[in-house]
Amino acid sequence: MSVKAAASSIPKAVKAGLVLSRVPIVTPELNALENKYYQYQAELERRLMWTFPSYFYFKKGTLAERRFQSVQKGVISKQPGVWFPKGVPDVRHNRERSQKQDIMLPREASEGSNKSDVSRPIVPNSRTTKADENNDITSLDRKLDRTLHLLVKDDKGSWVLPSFPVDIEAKEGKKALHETAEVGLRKIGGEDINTWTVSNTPAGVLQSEKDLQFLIKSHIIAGEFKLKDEKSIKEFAWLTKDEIKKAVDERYFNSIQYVLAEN
Amino acid sequence: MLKSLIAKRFASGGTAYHGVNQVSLPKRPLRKIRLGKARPAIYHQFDVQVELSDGSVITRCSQFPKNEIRLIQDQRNCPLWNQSRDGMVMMDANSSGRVDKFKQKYGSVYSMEEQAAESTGKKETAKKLQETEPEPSTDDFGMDDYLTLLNTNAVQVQKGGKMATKKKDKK
Repeated sequence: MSVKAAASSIPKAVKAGLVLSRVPIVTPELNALENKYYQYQAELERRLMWTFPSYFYFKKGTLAERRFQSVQKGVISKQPGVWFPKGVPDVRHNRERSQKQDIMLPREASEGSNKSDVSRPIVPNSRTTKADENNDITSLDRKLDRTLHLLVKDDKGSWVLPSFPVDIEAKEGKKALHETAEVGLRKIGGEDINTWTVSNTPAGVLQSEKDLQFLIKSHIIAGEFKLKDEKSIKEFAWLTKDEIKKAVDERYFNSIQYVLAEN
Repeated sequence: MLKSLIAKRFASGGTAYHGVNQVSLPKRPLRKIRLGKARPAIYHQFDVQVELSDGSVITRCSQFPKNEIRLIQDQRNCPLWNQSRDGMVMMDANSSGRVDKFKQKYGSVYSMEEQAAESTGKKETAKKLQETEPEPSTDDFGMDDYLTLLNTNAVQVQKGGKMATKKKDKK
């Protein structure tokens, strides 16, 4: 009935909505159970590993071999008439078989190491960035382990997905939905952006009394969104799904929540 | 019985293929694996911190005894994967290697690229003489040399089982 009514009614205006997302950069934070699980699996694997073939990597009589041997902790070998509290040693190929093998690797020493030194120690980067500390929602560097979505503040002052009107009446140069979305994004966000549109088929549709808004999914690959069209758009923000839930009103969120990435 | 007879018939056929078909792998290992004696084959691996050229660090496992690896040529500064990045500083990882030293010493006398360029130059002059002859497109790697190898007097390499050949009887 409703379909019939929609079909028979006056054609609505068509809009191309854009769900532009930035995919996660780092792996997600593990919870306590996952942490325990991965630790257990890693330890189990280390226990089951074969003996390290040091003869393969270090040629006998070389300096590298001597350096490697000097940092190894020796194994306790079996002696006649001696009581071993942790069990009788079972040593094969210089390895205690009842335990995992701990191999120490010699540190490549660097005298007077400074920041620019090529042999400085490698430290993993922080998972939180400056943008996280300043809570800069316009930055693409925030929330590295979550998917961010582009939202804009329209003239009514509410956060919405960016949408662009499709010119149906145009005689020449008709544009498809995804093309309209791409061109429109360049118009409001500048040319310094590289996006990849997932499909030219819309992922969802938002119905209102005035128009039909078809949602096109796209990912930002490089560049950044710089607000150009100050007239129609007040602000823009890169938000996660949780933040979107807080920012937009409930009805709008319920209609768009299925096209937003969970993490 | 019948089955084996058929198989024999096929095996003795003149056109039968004697290659991979006749190799049969045992379905289970020949050695009996007793309960609790099966042990997975895991090579000894180290946790490695790999620093990519843009400063990002990833952790991975490797069999090579090294805790830290610093890459200067990787996916983060390869122009193929970073087409929208301009002003990229390209580093050559082999800049102090043997090949580079050889090039410094002898120039481009023995270089494949140079030869390819020369051959294209010759072809260009030939093209000026007669325009109608189509010539294969060339690229920087001198691939045309390989292509010509492929299309002139190419003979398929026979792999696998030996064909039964009639021996010449000596007189």
